[in-house]
Amino acid sequence: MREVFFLLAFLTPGICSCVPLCEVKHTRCNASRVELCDSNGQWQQVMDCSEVAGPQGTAWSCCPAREGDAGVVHSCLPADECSGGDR
Amino acid sequence: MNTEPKAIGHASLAGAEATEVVRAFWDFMVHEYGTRVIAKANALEMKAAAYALGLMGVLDAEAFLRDYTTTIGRRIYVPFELGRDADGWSLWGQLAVCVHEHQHVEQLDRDGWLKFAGKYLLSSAGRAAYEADAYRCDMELHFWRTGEVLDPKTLAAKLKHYACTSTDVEVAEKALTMSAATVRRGGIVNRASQKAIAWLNVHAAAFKERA
Repeated sequence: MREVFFLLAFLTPGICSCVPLCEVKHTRCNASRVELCDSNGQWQQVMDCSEVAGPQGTAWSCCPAREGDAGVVHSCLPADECSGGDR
Repeated sequence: MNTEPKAIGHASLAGAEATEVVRAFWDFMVHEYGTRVIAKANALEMKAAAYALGLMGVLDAEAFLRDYTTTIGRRIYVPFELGRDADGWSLWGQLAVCVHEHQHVEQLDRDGWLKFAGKYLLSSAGRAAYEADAYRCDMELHFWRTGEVLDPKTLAAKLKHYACTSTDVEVAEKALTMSAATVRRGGIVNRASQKAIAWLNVHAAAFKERA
């Protein structure tokens, strides 16, 4: 029985990561992190806005941005451009 | 193992001064990351890899040795002579590929050997994510130099040479599109680009070609 438990404990993370959690190519903000849904239906970090460097003094936040033909995607933008809309 | 073909979207950069800048830049990055630069043509392990890739039909052996820079751990195998504009490797291309490959070293340090190698070698989605992250360096460097943003679709299309599925190429394109919004506002996301651009601002600001 103990062996079965260990086997389950070993396999469970793998099984969980195969259950789709999101729709492929959807994007979102998760606190300061910008995330994208990969082909396995898992959220993957694309950027962490707290680590972005830029013009002096600029603070960066995650928020939606219109990006050409791609439409609205989530990205790191200067905090003053994030108007507090859908995050 | 990360391997990177000749760069795209890079304007010319020439002259004796540029040659020195490229060599000094590589010296700086190699020192920062503790990496080693190895001539790919002379490396037995690369010849073996080229033979294996050719045998598997993944990539022409000669093209692998001639057109691709490859990083394994902290060893960077280059198919060009640093600072020599020849064989289709422009000086700017040599700068850009230096940053791209060192971003792979950042990924290795962040994720550890087991996770990095496993995801890169065994998962199309993982490989596409690592490469999209490194291609952001190309985008950031190009923006530093020209003030323009490289096309995410063109960058992501290069992943077709990495045995990535079409869906993973599309996901990579989306990731690069998300990054483009930050880059065009002057944001620098990747650590390797941050180090590179800080150095370039001090030592090579004259090479900017912004209108």
